[in-house]
Amino acid sequence: MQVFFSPTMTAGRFSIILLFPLLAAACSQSGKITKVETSQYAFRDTLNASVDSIIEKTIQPYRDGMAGQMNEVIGTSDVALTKGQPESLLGNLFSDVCFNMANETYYATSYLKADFAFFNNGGIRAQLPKGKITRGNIFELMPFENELVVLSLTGSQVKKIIDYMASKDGVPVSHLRFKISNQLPSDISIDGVPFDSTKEYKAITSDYLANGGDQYFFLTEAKKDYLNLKIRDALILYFQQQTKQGKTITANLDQRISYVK
Amino acid sequence: MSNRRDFLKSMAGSAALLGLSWSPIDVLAKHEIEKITILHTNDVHSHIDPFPANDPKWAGLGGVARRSALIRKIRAEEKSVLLLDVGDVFQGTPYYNVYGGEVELKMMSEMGYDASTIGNHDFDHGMDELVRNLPKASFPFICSNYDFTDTVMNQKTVPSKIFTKGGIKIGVFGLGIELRGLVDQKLYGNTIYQDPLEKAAYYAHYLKQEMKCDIVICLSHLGYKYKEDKVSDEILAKQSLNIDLILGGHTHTFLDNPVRYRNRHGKEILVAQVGWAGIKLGRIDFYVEKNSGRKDVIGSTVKVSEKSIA
Repeated sequence: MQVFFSPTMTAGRFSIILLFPLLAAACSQSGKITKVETSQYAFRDTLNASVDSIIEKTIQPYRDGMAGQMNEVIGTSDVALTKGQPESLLGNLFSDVCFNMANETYYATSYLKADFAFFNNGGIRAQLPKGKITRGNIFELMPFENELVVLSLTGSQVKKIIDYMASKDGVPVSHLRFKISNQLPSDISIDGVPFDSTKEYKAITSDYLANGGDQYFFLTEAKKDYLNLKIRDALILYFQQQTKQGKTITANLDQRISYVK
Repeated sequence: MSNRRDFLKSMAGSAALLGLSWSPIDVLAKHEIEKITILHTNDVHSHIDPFPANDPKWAGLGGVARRSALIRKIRAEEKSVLLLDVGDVFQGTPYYNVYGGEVELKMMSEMGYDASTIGNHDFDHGMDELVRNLPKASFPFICSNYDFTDTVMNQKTVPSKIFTKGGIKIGVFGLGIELRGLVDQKLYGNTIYQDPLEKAAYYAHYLKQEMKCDIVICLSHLGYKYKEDKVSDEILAKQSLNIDLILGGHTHTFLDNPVRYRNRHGKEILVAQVGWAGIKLGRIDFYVEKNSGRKDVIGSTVKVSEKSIA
Protein backbone atom coordinates (compact mmCIF):
# COMPACT_ATOMS: atom_id res chain seq x y z
CA MET A 1 0.00 0.00 0.00
CA GLN A 2 1.36 3.37 -0.78
CA VAL A 3 1.66 5.97 1.84
CA PHE A 4 0.50 9.44 1.00
CA PHE A 5 1.15 12.34 3.18
CA SER A 6 2.29 15.82 2.88
CA PRO A 7 4.99 17.92 4.27
CA THR A 8 3.63 19.67 7.21
CA MET A 9 6.27 22.33 7.42
CA THR A 10 6.08 23.88 3.99
CA ALA A 11 2.51 23.64 3.19
CA GLY A 12 1.74 27.27 2.88
CA ARG A 13 -0.41 29.49 4.96
CA PHE A 14 -2.62 27.21 6.75
CA SER A 15 -0.13 24.72 6.90
CA ILE A 16 -0.87 21.69 8.33
CA ILE A 17 -1.67 18.87 7.00
CA LEU A 18 -1.96 15.57 6.51
CA LEU A 19 -3.16 13.10 4.47
CA PHE A 20 -3.30 9.93 5.62
CA PRO A 21 -2.87 6.76 5.04
CA LEU A 22 -3.51 3.83 5.51
CA LEU A 23 -2.59 0.96 7.27
CA ALA A 24 -5.27 -1.37 7.27
CA ALA A 25 -5.79 -3.63 9.88
CA ALA A 26 -2.93 -5.66 9.57
CA CYS A 27 -1.33 -4.90 12.82
CA SER A 28 -3.69 -6.74 14.96
CA GLN A 29 -2.08 -9.30 17.10
CA SER A 30 -5.39 -10.17 18.61
CA GLY A 31 -7.29 -9.63 15.43
CA LYS A 32 -9.14 -6.74 16.92
CA ILE A 33 -7.53 -3.69 15.35
CA THR A 34 -9.40 -3.22 12.12
CA LYS A 35 -7.94 0.02 10.84
CA VAL A 36 -5.30 2.56 11.68
CA GLU A 37 -5.12 6.12 10.46
CA THR A 38 -2.18 8.39 11.04
CA SER A 39 -1.69 12.11 10.82
CA GLN A 40 0.40 14.95 12.15
CA TYR A 41 -0.08 18.56 13.05
CA ALA A 42 2.58 21.24 12.93
CA PHE A 43 2.39 24.31 15.10
CA ARG A 44 3.38 27.48 13.37
CA ASP A 45 2.49 31.11 13.13
CA THR A 46 -0.68 31.46 11.19
CA LEU A 47 -3.45 33.95 11.44
CA ASN A 48 -5.86 31.30 12.56
CA ALA A 49 -3.62 29.40 14.95
CA SER A 50 -5.58 29.33 18.13
CA VAL A 51 -3.93 29.57 21.48
CA ASP A 52 -5.12 28.14 24.78
CA SER A 53 -5.62 31.22 26.91
CA ILE A 54 -5.64 29.27 30.18
CA ILE A 55 -2.23 27.79 29.39
CA GLU A 56 -0.99 31.15 28.21
CA LYS A 57 -2.05 32.70 31.50
CA THR A 58 -0.28 29.99 33.45
CA ILE A 59 2.97 30.49 31.55
CA GLN A 60 3.02 34.27 31.75
CA PRO A 61 4.34 34.68 35.31
CA TYR A 62 7.17 32.22 34.62
CA ARG A 63 8.00 34.00 31.39
CA ASP A 64 7.95 37.38 33.13
CA GLY A 65 10.01 36.05 36.01
CA MET A 66 13.02 35.40 33.83
CA ALA A 67 12.51 37.97 31.09
CA GLY A 68 14.81 40.54 32.68
CA GLN A 69 17.69 38.12 32.84
CA MET A 70 17.13 36.13 29.65
CA ASN A 71 16.10 38.91 27.27
CA GLU A 72 19.18 41.00 28.03
CA VAL A 73 21.06 41.62 24.78
CA ILE A 74 24.71 40.69 25.29
CA GLY A 75 26.04 40.96 21.75
CA THR A 76 25.35 41.33 18.07
CA SER A 77 26.24 38.80 15.43
CA ASP A 78 27.06 39.72 11.84
CA VAL A 79 25.67 36.47 10.52
CA ALA A 80 23.43 33.59 11.57
CA LEU A 81 25.72 31.14 13.36
CA THR A 82 24.73 27.66 12.34
CA LYS A 83 25.93 24.15 13.08
CA GLY A 84 27.36 21.73 10.55
CA GLN A 85 30.08 19.27 9.61
CA PRO A 86 32.98 18.86 9.06
CA GLU A 87 33.22 22.40 10.47
CA SER A 88 30.73 25.22 10.99
CA LEU A 89 30.57 28.88 11.92
CA LEU A 90 29.01 28.11 15.27
CA GLY A 91 31.27 25.12 16.00
CA ASN A 92 34.37 27.17 15.23
CA LEU A 93 33.25 30.15 17.30
CA PHE A 94 32.20 27.92 20.21
CA SER A 95 35.52 26.05 20.23
CA ASP A 96 37.71 29.12 19.77
CA VAL A 97 35.96 31.01 22.56
CA CYS A 98 36.24 28.03 24.90
CA PHE A 99 39.90 27.52 23.96
CA ASN A 100 40.77 31.16 24.59
CA MET A 101 38.75 31.68 27.75
CA ALA A 102 39.85 28.38 29.29
CA ASN A 103 43.48 29.02 28.48
CA GLU A 104 43.30 32.46 30.07
CA THR A 105 42.08 30.88 33.30
CA TYR A 106 44.51 27.97 33.08
CA TYR A 107 47.51 30.21 32.44
CA ALA A 108 46.61 32.52 35.30
CA THR A 109 46.71 29.62 37.75
CA SER A 110 49.50 27.46 36.29
CA TYR A 111 51.50 29.46 33.72
CA LEU A 112 50.66 26.61 31.37
CA LYS A 113 48.67 26.59 28.17
CA ALA A 114 46.64 23.89 26.49
CA ASP A 115 47.44 23.01 22.88
CA PHE A 116 43.99 22.49 21.42
CA ALA A 117 40.30 22.10 22.25
CA PHE A 118 37.66 19.61 21.14
CA PHE A 119 33.94 19.19 21.81
CA ASN A 120 30.99 17.15 20.51
CA ASN A 121 28.26 18.04 18.04
CA GLY A 122 25.53 17.11 20.49
CA GLY A 123 26.88 19.64 22.99
CA ILE A 124 25.75 22.56 20.85
CA ARG A 125 22.01 22.57 21.37
CA ALA A 126 20.78 25.57 19.35
CA GLN A 127 21.95 27.92 16.64
CA LEU A 128 22.34 31.68 16.97
CA PRO A 129 20.42 34.21 14.89
CA LYS A 130 21.92 37.10 12.97
CA GLY A 131 21.62 40.33 14.91
CA LYS A 132 20.93 40.72 18.59
CA ILE A 133 22.02 37.85 20.82
CA THR A 134 20.40 37.54 24.23
CA ARG A 135 21.54 35.73 27.33
CA GLY A 136 18.60 33.37 26.68
CA ASN A 137 20.07 32.49 23.28
CA ILE A 138 23.26 31.34 25.00
CA PHE A 139 21.27 29.31 27.52
CA GLU A 140 19.58 27.52 24.62
CA LEU A 141 22.88 27.02 22.84
CA MET A 142 24.46 25.69 26.04
CA PRO A 143 21.74 24.66 28.51
CA PHE A 144 24.03 22.26 30.36
CA GLU A 145 26.04 23.14 33.43
CA ASN A 146 29.18 21.68 31.83
CA GLU A 147 32.56 23.06 32.84
CA LEU A 148 35.83 23.42 30.99
CA VAL A 149 38.58 20.95 31.83
CA VAL A 150 42.22 20.61 30.78
CA LEU A 151 43.25 17.04 29.97
CA SER A 152 46.88 15.88 29.99
CA LEU A 153 47.17 13.34 27.18
CA THR A 154 49.72 11.05 25.60
CA GLY A 155 50.23 11.21 21.85
CA SER A 156 48.42 7.93 21.43
CA GLN A 157 45.42 9.20 23.42
CA VAL A 158 45.32 12.28 21.20
CA LYS A 159 45.39 10.05 18.13
CA LYS A 160 42.48 8.06 19.53
CA ILE A 161 40.48 11.27 20.01
CA ILE A 162 41.21 12.40 16.48
CA ASP A 163 40.36 8.98 15.03
CA TYR A 164 37.04 9.16 16.86
CA MET A 165 36.32 12.71 15.67
CA ALA A 166 37.04 11.61 12.08
CA SER A 167 34.72 8.63 12.46
CA LYS A 168 32.01 11.15 13.43
CA ASP A 169 32.66 13.21 10.25
CA GLY A 170 34.07 16.09 12.26
CA VAL A 171 33.26 17.83 15.53
CA PRO A 172 33.87 21.36 16.89
CA VAL A 173 37.64 21.91 17.45
CA SER A 174 40.08 24.75 17.98
CA HIS A 175 43.83 24.95 17.23
CA LEU A 176 43.61 21.54 15.63
CA ARG A 177 43.53 20.81 11.90
CA PHE A 178 43.11 17.59 9.97
CA LYS A 179 41.58 16.08 6.86
CA ILE A 180 39.06 13.25 6.74
CA SER A 181 38.97 10.56 4.11
CA ASN A 182 36.66 7.56 4.58
CA GLN A 183 36.21 8.64 8.19
CA LEU A 184 39.98 8.42 8.81
CA PRO A 185 42.15 11.43 9.69
CA SER A 186 45.29 12.64 7.90
CA ASP A 187 47.51 15.75 7.79
CA ILE A 188 47.00 16.38 11.49
CA SER A 189 48.47 19.52 12.99
CA ILE A 190 48.10 20.90 16.49
CA ASP A 191 48.53 24.57 17.19
CA GLY A 192 50.23 24.95 13.81
CA VAL A 193 52.73 22.11 14.27
CA PRO A 194 52.47 18.62 12.70
CA PHE A 195 51.13 16.09 15.19
CA ASP A 196 53.84 14.00 16.91
CA SER A 197 52.55 10.80 18.48
CA THR A 198 55.57 10.61 20.81
CA LYS A 199 54.73 13.96 22.43
CA GLU A 200 52.38 14.76 25.31
CA TYR A 201 49.60 17.28 24.78
CA LYS A 202 47.13 19.26 26.81
CA ALA A 203 43.59 19.58 25.53
CA ILE A 204 40.58 21.61 26.62
CA THR A 205 37.19 19.97 26.60
CA SER A 206 33.99 19.73 28.64
CA ASP A 207 33.75 17.74 31.85
CA TYR A 208 31.02 15.78 30.06
CA LEU A 209 33.50 14.34 27.56
CA ALA A 210 36.31 14.16 30.10
CA ASN A 211 34.08 11.93 32.27
CA GLY A 212 33.47 9.51 29.41
CA GLY A 213 30.47 11.13 27.72
CA ASP A 214 29.82 10.51 24.03
CA GLN A 215 31.61 7.16 24.43
CA TYR A 216 35.00 8.76 25.30
CA PHE A 217 35.50 6.11 27.96
CA PHE A 218 39.29 6.23 27.75
CA LEU A 219 39.33 9.88 28.79
CA THR A 220 38.29 8.93 32.31
CA GLU A 221 41.87 7.78 32.90
CA ALA A 222 43.48 11.06 31.80
CA LYS A 223 44.79 13.62 34.31
CA LYS A 224 42.33 16.49 34.59
CA ASP A 225 42.62 20.10 35.74
CA TYR A 226 39.19 21.56 36.46
CA LEU A 227 39.02 25.27 35.70
CA ASN A 228 35.84 26.08 37.59
CA LEU A 229 34.59 27.82 34.47
CA LYS A 230 31.26 26.86 32.93
CA ILE A 231 31.09 26.75 29.15
CA ARG A 232 27.98 28.93 29.19
CA ASP A 233 29.64 31.53 31.39
CA ALA A 234 32.70 31.59 29.13
CA LEU A 235 30.48 32.24 26.10
CA ILE A 236 28.45 34.95 27.81
CA LEU A 237 31.62 36.67 29.05
CA TYR A 238 33.11 36.62 25.56
CA PHE A 239 29.97 38.17 24.02
CA GLN A 240 29.92 40.85 26.71
CA GLN A 241 33.61 41.64 26.24
CA GLN A 242 33.19 42.02 22.48
CA THR A 243 30.22 44.31 22.99
CA LYS A 244 32.10 46.42 25.51
CA GLN A 245 34.86 46.87 22.95
CA GLY A 246 32.29 47.96 20.38
CA LYS A 247 32.76 44.80 18.35
CA THR A 248 30.22 42.49 16.77
CA ILE A 249 30.49 38.70 16.77
CA THR A 250 32.05 37.13 13.72
CA ALA A 251 33.09 33.61 12.81
CA ASN A 252 34.89 32.03 9.89
CA LEU A 253 35.24 28.73 8.15
CA ASP A 254 38.96 27.97 7.77
CA GLN A 255 38.98 24.31 6.72
CA ARG A 256 40.31 23.29 10.12
CA ILE A 257 38.58 20.00 9.38
CA SER A 258 37.93 19.15 5.76
CA TYR A 259 36.87 16.16 3.70
CA VAL A 260 39.26 14.81 1.10
CA LYS A 261 37.25 14.15 -2.02
CA MET B 1 11.37 17.86 5.11
CA SER B 2 9.66 18.08 1.80
CA ASN B 3 9.43 21.08 -0.40
CA ARG B 4 6.45 22.69 -1.99
CA ARG B 5 6.69 20.59 -5.12
CA ASP B 6 6.51 17.42 -3.10
CA PHE B 7 3.53 18.88 -1.36
CA LEU B 8 1.71 19.56 -4.60
CA LYS B 9 2.71 16.16 -5.84
CA SER B 10 1.34 14.50 -2.77
CA MET B 11 -1.85 16.51 -3.03
CA ALA B 12 -2.22 15.26 -6.57
CA GLY B 13 -1.51 11.76 -5.35
CA SER B 14 -4.11 11.95 -2.68
CA ALA B 15 -6.70 13.30 -5.06
CA ALA B 16 -6.07 10.39 -7.34
CA LEU B 17 -6.37 8.07 -4.42
CA LEU B 18 -9.73 9.52 -3.49
CA GLY B 19 -10.94 9.09 -7.01
CA LEU B 20 -10.02 5.45 -7.05
CA SER B 21 -11.01 4.41 -3.62
CA TRP B 22 -14.14 2.46 -3.14
CA SER B 23 -16.66 3.45 -0.60
CA PRO B 24 -15.17 2.61 2.73
CA ILE B 25 -17.01 0.12 4.80
CA ASP B 26 -18.85 2.06 7.40
CA VAL B 27 -17.30 0.30 10.30
CA LEU B 28 -18.52 2.76 12.86
CA ALA B 29 -22.11 1.99 12.05
CA LYS B 30 -21.63 -1.53 13.32
CA HIS B 31 -21.52 -0.28 16.89
CA GLU B 32 -18.84 -2.67 18.01
CA ILE B 33 -16.00 -0.62 16.57
CA GLU B 34 -14.30 1.73 19.01
CA LYS B 35 -12.00 4.50 17.86
CA ILE B 36 -8.98 5.19 20.03
CA THR B 37 -7.03 8.36 19.29
CA ILE B 38 -3.37 8.36 20.31
CA LEU B 39 -1.63 11.74 20.39
CA HIS B 40 2.12 11.91 20.91
CA THR B 41 5.12 14.18 21.38
CA ASN B 42 8.80 13.48 22.10
CA ASP B 43 11.92 15.42 23.04
CA VAL B 44 10.04 18.62 23.76
CA HIS B 45 13.14 19.79 25.68
CA SER B 46 11.51 22.55 27.71
CA HIS B 47 10.19 24.34 24.61
CA ILE B 48 7.27 26.08 26.25
CA ASP B 49 7.20 29.06 23.89
CA PRO B 50 7.33 28.93 20.09
CA PHE B 51 10.76 29.50 18.56
CA PRO B 52 11.36 33.23 18.08
CA ALA B 53 10.94 34.82 14.67
CA ASN B 54 14.72 35.20 14.22
CA ASP B 55 15.59 31.54 14.83
CA PRO B 56 17.78 30.36 11.93
CA LYS B 57 15.96 27.08 11.53
CA TRP B 58 12.67 26.81 13.43
CA ALA B 59 11.27 30.35 13.43
CA GLY B 60 7.72 30.58 14.74
CA LEU B 61 7.26 26.84 15.28
CA GLY B 62 5.95 24.98 18.32
CA GLY B 63 4.54 26.35 21.57
CA VAL B 64 2.48 24.67 24.29
CA ALA B 65 -0.41 27.14 24.18
CA ARG B 66 -1.09 26.19 20.57
CA ARG B 67 -0.61 22.49 21.26
CA SER B 68 -3.01 22.71 24.15
CA ALA B 69 -5.66 24.44 22.03
CA LEU B 70 -5.42 21.70 19.43
CA ILE B 71 -5.58 18.97 22.05
CA ARG B 72 -8.71 20.54 23.52
CA LYS B 73 -10.25 20.59 20.07
CA ILE B 74 -9.44 16.93 19.43
CA ARG B 75 -10.79 15.95 22.83
CA ALA B 76 -14.03 17.71 21.97
CA GLU B 77 -14.26 15.73 18.74
CA GLU B 78 -13.11 12.31 19.92
CA LYS B 79 -14.37 10.19 22.76
CA SER B 80 -11.24 8.21 23.55
CA VAL B 81 -7.98 10.15 23.50
CA LEU B 82 -4.66 9.02 24.97
CA LEU B 83 -1.95 11.69 25.12
CA LEU B 84 1.59 10.35 25.43
CA ASP B 85 5.12 11.71 25.55
CA VAL B 86 8.36 9.86 24.96
CA GLY B 87 10.83 11.61 27.27
CA ASP B 88 13.43 14.36 27.23
CA VAL B 89 10.74 16.58 28.63
CA PHE B 90 13.50 18.77 30.06
CA GLN B 91 16.62 20.70 29.04
CA GLY B 92 16.86 23.13 26.18
CA THR B 93 15.44 26.47 27.25
CA PRO B 94 15.90 28.72 30.30
CA TYR B 95 12.57 27.46 31.68
CA TYR B 96 14.45 24.38 32.89
CA ASN B 97 17.55 26.27 34.08
CA VAL B 98 15.49 28.79 36.01
CA TYR B 99 12.51 26.76 37.26
CA GLY B 100 14.02 23.28 37.34
CA GLY B 101 11.29 21.41 35.46
CA GLU B 102 8.20 22.74 37.21
CA VAL B 103 6.84 24.58 34.19
CA GLU B 104 7.16 21.64 31.79
CA LEU B 105 5.37 19.21 34.12
CA LYS B 106 2.69 21.72 35.04
CA MET B 107 1.90 22.39 31.38
CA MET B 108 1.82 18.71 30.52
CA SER B 109 -0.50 18.06 33.44
CA GLU B 110 -2.72 20.92 32.36
CA MET B 111 -2.90 19.44 28.85
CA GLY B 112 -3.91 16.11 30.35
CA TYR B 113 -0.94 13.97 29.35
CA ASP B 114 -1.61 10.35 30.30
CA ALA B 115 2.03 9.25 30.55
CA SER B 116 5.63 9.90 29.60
CA THR B 117 8.87 7.97 29.88
CA ILE B 118 12.34 8.90 31.14
CA GLY B 119 14.71 10.33 28.53
CA ASN B 120 18.45 10.70 29.05
CA HIS B 121 18.18 14.47 29.48
CA ASP B 122 15.60 14.04 32.20
CA PHE B 123 18.58 13.15 34.42
CA ASP B 124 20.36 16.44 33.62
CA HIS B 125 19.80 18.07 36.99
CA GLY B 126 20.48 14.82 38.82
CA MET B 127 18.09 12.31 40.33
CA ASP B 128 17.35 14.25 43.52
CA GLU B 129 15.98 17.08 41.38
CA LEU B 130 14.03 14.66 39.23
CA VAL B 131 12.40 13.10 42.27
CA ARG B 132 11.59 16.54 43.68
CA ASN B 133 9.88 17.46 40.42
CA LEU B 134 7.91 14.32 39.65
CA PRO B 135 5.02 15.15 42.01
CA LYS B 136 4.28 18.17 39.79
CA ALA B 137 3.21 15.70 37.10
CA SER B 138 -0.35 14.43 37.34
CA PHE B 139 0.63 11.52 35.07
CA PRO B 140 3.00 8.58 35.54
CA PHE B 141 6.45 8.08 34.06
CA ILE B 142 6.52 4.59 32.59
CA CYS B 143 9.92 2.93 32.42
CA SER B 144 10.42 -0.81 32.04
CA ASN B 145 14.19 -1.19 31.71
CA TYR B 146 15.84 1.17 34.21
CA ASP B 147 16.27 -0.51 37.56
CA PHE B 148 16.04 2.33 40.07
CA THR B 149 15.98 0.09 43.15
CA ASP B 150 19.22 1.42 44.59
CA THR B 151 18.39 5.10 43.90
CA VAL B 152 16.06 7.85 45.13
CA MET B 153 13.90 7.10 42.09
CA ASN B 154 12.90 3.73 43.52
CA GLN B 155 9.12 3.26 43.16
CA LYS B 156 8.76 6.64 41.43
CA THR B 157 8.10 5.17 38.01
CA VAL B 158 5.93 2.28 36.86
CA PRO B 159 7.09 -0.49 34.49
CA SER B 160 3.80 -0.57 32.59
CA LYS B 161 0.28 0.76 32.76
CA ILE B 162 -3.04 -0.23 31.29
CA PHE B 163 -5.46 2.48 30.21
CA THR B 164 -9.08 1.62 29.52
CA LYS B 165 -10.89 3.88 27.07
CA GLY B 166 -14.34 3.13 25.74
CA GLY B 167 -14.00 -0.44 26.91
CA ILE B 168 -10.72 -0.89 25.03
CA LYS B 169 -7.55 -1.81 26.95
CA ILE B 170 -4.38 -0.05 25.92
CA GLY B 171 -1.18 -1.37 27.48
CA VAL B 172 1.80 0.98 27.62
CA PHE B 173 5.40 0.25 28.60
CA GLY B 174 8.55 2.37 28.27
CA LEU B 175 12.18 1.91 27.27
CA GLY B 176 15.16 4.11 28.17
CA ILE B 177 18.47 4.37 26.35
CA GLU B 178 21.81 3.12 27.68
CA LEU B 179 23.11 5.80 30.04
CA ARG B 180 26.80 4.90 30.23
CA GLY B 181 28.75 7.08 27.83
CA LEU B 182 25.71 9.29 27.30
CA VAL B 183 24.87 10.74 30.70
CA ASP B 184 27.42 11.63 33.35
CA GLN B 185 27.38 8.84 35.89
CA LYS B 186 27.10 11.26 38.79
CA LEU B 187 23.70 12.26 37.40
CA TYR B 188 22.21 8.77 37.08
CA GLY B 189 23.97 7.22 40.05
CA ASN B 190 23.13 3.57 40.66
CA THR B 191 20.49 3.33 37.97
CA ILE B 192 20.91 0.01 36.18
CA TYR B 193 20.20 -0.11 32.47
CA GLN B 194 18.61 -3.41 31.53
CA ASP B 195 18.40 -4.91 28.04
CA PRO B 196 15.50 -3.10 26.32
CA LEU B 197 14.79 -5.99 23.94
CA GLU B 198 14.38 -8.44 26.82
CA LYS B 199 12.21 -6.06 28.81
CA ALA B 200 10.15 -5.27 25.72
CA ALA B 201 9.56 -8.96 25.09
CA TYR B 202 8.51 -9.45 28.70
CA TYR B 203 6.17 -6.46 29.10
CA ALA B 204 4.63 -6.71 25.61
CA HIS B 205 3.79 -10.36 26.27
CA TYR B 206 2.44 -9.53 29.69
CA LEU B 207 0.23 -6.72 28.37
CA LYS B 208 -1.04 -8.44 25.23
CA GLN B 209 -1.26 -12.08 26.21
CA GLU B 210 -1.79 -12.05 29.95
CA MET B 211 -3.66 -8.81 30.46
CA LYS B 212 -5.41 -9.11 27.07
CA CYS B 213 -4.77 -5.53 26.01
CA ASP B 214 -6.28 -4.68 22.65
CA ILE B 215 -3.46 -2.29 21.78
CA VAL B 216 0.13 -2.39 23.09
CA ILE B 217 2.24 0.74 22.81
CA CYS B 218 5.95 1.12 23.59
CA LEU B 219 7.24 4.55 24.59
CA SER B 220 10.83 4.24 23.38
CA HIS B 221 13.61 6.69 24.04
CA LEU B 222 16.08 4.36 22.26
CA GLY B 223 16.28 6.38 19.03
CA TYR B 224 14.87 5.59 15.57
CA LYS B 225 17.91 3.97 13.97
CA TYR B 226 21.70 4.21 13.85
CA LYS B 227 24.50 3.66 11.37
CA GLU B 228 26.31 1.61 13.95
CA ASP B 229 25.04 -1.58 15.52
CA LYS B 230 23.07 -0.12 18.39
CA VAL B 231 19.64 -1.04 19.66
CA SER B 232 16.96 1.19 18.12
CA ASP B 233 13.26 1.36 17.37
CA GLU B 234 13.90 -0.25 14.01
CA ILE B 235 15.72 -3.20 15.59
CA LEU B 236 13.09 -3.46 18.31
CA ALA B 237 10.23 -3.37 15.79
CA LYS B 238 11.67 -6.13 13.61
CA GLN B 239 12.37 -8.54 16.39
CA SER B 240 9.37 -7.75 18.57
CA LEU B 241 6.15 -9.58 19.27
CA ASN B 242 2.94 -8.29 20.83
CA ILE B 243 3.62 -4.59 20.12
CA ASP B 244 1.33 -2.59 17.83
CA LEU B 245 2.98 0.80 17.98
CA ILE B 246 6.35 2.18 19.01
CA LEU B 247 6.30 5.89 19.81
CA GLY B 248 9.94 6.91 19.50
CA GLY B 249 12.26 9.70 20.55
CA HIS B 250 15.87 10.62 21.29
CA THR B 251 17.13 10.97 17.70
CA HIS B 252 14.84 13.98 17.06
CA THR B 253 13.73 12.28 13.85
CA PHE B 254 10.90 13.89 11.91
CA LEU B 255 9.10 10.87 10.50
CA ASP B 256 6.51 12.63 8.36
CA ASN B 257 4.51 9.47 8.53
CA PRO B 258 4.90 6.49 10.85
CA VAL B 259 7.04 3.74 9.35
CA ARG B 260 5.60 0.25 9.03
CA TYR B 261 7.67 -2.78 9.88
CA ARG B 262 7.00 -6.49 10.12
CA ASN B 263 7.65 -8.02 13.49
CA ARG B 264 9.22 -11.41 14.14
CA HIS B 265 6.02 -13.15 13.13
CA GLY B 266 5.37 -10.95 10.11
CA LYS B 267 2.70 -8.84 11.78
CA GLU B 268 2.66 -5.13 11.13
CA ILE B 269 4.02 -2.71 13.67
CA LEU B 270 4.24 1.05 13.37
CA VAL B 271 7.12 3.27 14.47
CA ALA B 272 6.32 6.97 14.90
CA GLN B 273 8.41 9.96 15.97
CA VAL B 274 7.70 13.67 15.61
CA GLY B 275 11.07 15.42 15.69
CA TRP B 276 11.51 17.52 18.80
CA ALA B 277 10.68 20.75 20.64
CA GLY B 278 6.91 20.38 20.34
CA ILE B 279 7.06 21.46 16.71
CA LYS B 280 4.59 18.73 15.84
CA LEU B 281 1.94 16.57 17.41
CA GLY B 282 1.51 13.05 16.06
CA ARG B 283 -1.83 11.32 15.85
CA ILE B 284 -2.69 7.68 15.36
CA ASP B 285 -6.31 6.53 15.33
CA PHE B 286 -6.91 2.87 16.03
CA TYR B 287 -10.26 1.34 15.18
CA VAL B 288 -10.80 -1.65 17.41
CA GLU B 289 -13.52 -4.20 17.08
CA LYS B 290 -14.85 -5.10 20.50
CA ASN B 291 -15.26 -8.68 21.60
CA SER B 292 -14.12 -10.02 18.30
CA GLY B 293 -12.43 -13.31 17.78
CA ARG B 294 -11.93 -12.40 14.16
CA LYS B 295 -8.41 -12.86 12.87
CA ASP B 296 -8.78 -11.23 9.50
CA VAL B 297 -8.92 -7.72 8.33
CA ILE B 298 -12.33 -6.43 7.35
CA GLY B 299 -11.03 -4.63 4.36
CA SER B 300 -8.66 -1.96 3.64
CA THR B 301 -10.28 1.40 3.89
CA VAL B 302 -8.32 4.42 3.00
CA LYS B 303 -9.26 7.70 4.45
CA VAL B 304 -7.73 10.84 3.10
CA SER B 305 -8.27 14.00 4.99
CA GLU B 306 -6.65 17.17 6.09
CA LYS B 307 -6.08 18.41 9.55
CA SER B 308 -5.68 21.99 10.47
CA ILE B 309 -4.37 23.52 13.62
CA ALA B 310 -6.94 26.25 13.51
